[in-house]
Amino acid sequence: MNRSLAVPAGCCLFALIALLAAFHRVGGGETAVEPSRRDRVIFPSTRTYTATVAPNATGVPRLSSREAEQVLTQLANAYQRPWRQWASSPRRLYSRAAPRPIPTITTIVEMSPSPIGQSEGTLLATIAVTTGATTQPVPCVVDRTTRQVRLFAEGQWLTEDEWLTKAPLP
Amino acid sequence: MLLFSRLRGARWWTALTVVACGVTLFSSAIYFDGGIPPRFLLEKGALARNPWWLAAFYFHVVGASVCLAAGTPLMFPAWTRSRPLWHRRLGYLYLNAVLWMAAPSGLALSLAAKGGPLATAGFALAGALWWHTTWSGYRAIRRGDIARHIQAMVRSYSWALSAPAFRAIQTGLFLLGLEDTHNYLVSLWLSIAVSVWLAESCLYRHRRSAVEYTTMPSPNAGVLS
Repeated sequence: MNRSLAVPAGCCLFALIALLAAFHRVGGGETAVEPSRRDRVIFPSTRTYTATVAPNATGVPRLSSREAEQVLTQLANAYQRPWRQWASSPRRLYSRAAPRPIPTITTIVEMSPSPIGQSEGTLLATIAVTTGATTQPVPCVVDRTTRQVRLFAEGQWLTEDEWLTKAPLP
Repeated sequence: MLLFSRLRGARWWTALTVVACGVTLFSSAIYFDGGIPPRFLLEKGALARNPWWLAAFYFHVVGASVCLAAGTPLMFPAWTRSRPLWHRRLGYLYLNAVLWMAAPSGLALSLAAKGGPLATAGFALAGALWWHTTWSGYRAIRRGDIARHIQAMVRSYSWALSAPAFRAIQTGLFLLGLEDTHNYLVSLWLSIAVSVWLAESCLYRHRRSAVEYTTMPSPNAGVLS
């Protein structure tokens, strides 16, 4: 190979190494192609909301029905976020990306009406997930003391993290 | 354009090809916008966070864009005949963009191609033949074999055109209602077939011109009339 090709070949190799190094640096930082779903869920602290129900015997304020609904709403929003990111991602019709339209996704949180399903320790609710024309109800149980949520999906009880990681993509 | 000369509707095919190349270049700009990742990268999932894959991907996009931009003017014989210096400059740019950027990165990306083994085979075949024909064109012009140079570069540029051809075919099949997974594979292999047909049909139409040209070489020309 003579110099007329060796020099460009060397330059291209150098450029590739520089590009690789740049992506390594970026990849080690905060930038990611897909945001961490779990990081986006911010649950209310005890300081954020005024307890409207008397604390339990240990003195920890219990979640009210309204607060639990807000917790579930934030969880549902985190569930929808990757799907909506896909829907809003830029693409051209004339490209290698699949040109199909992505159906819309919506969620509705319904708390079980008092006094059905309400107790000192837990609250019952349903998150109805609608993608396109299909609606799937996801029963939920909210621990009023620990604020943990359990959801019944795909035939099993899941934690919030498990439910978010199993969320489908378009 | 040389590829369509002596073909019915050559001007229309030429205009369509130039527009397709321009739209392909324009559509590649979304990968450099920043902000929300384009859908093609989202489809790749975890792979799009791999530095090696990302580096190969952007190297391929930039290299292939340079190939389309530099190679298209070279397919107009009247233009290259009147500008031999630009012929050499753009040819040099096209040659190096294919040999050291677009084709090798395309081969690397084919290993994780969307569509599975069939897609990998298709992209690998296209990448390998693109590299080989371009290298053959370089070797031919180095030894002064104009006819072989023309043949090889016609084939090389046809492989470059497989990118806009793929997109056009995929768009057409999508509008006809073909499901995405099948659409991708069918579009890929049809674009390969189109590339091969474009090159070989052009060379077949000019086979007599090529024979005359080899017996009367001209130092300034480099294209078939």
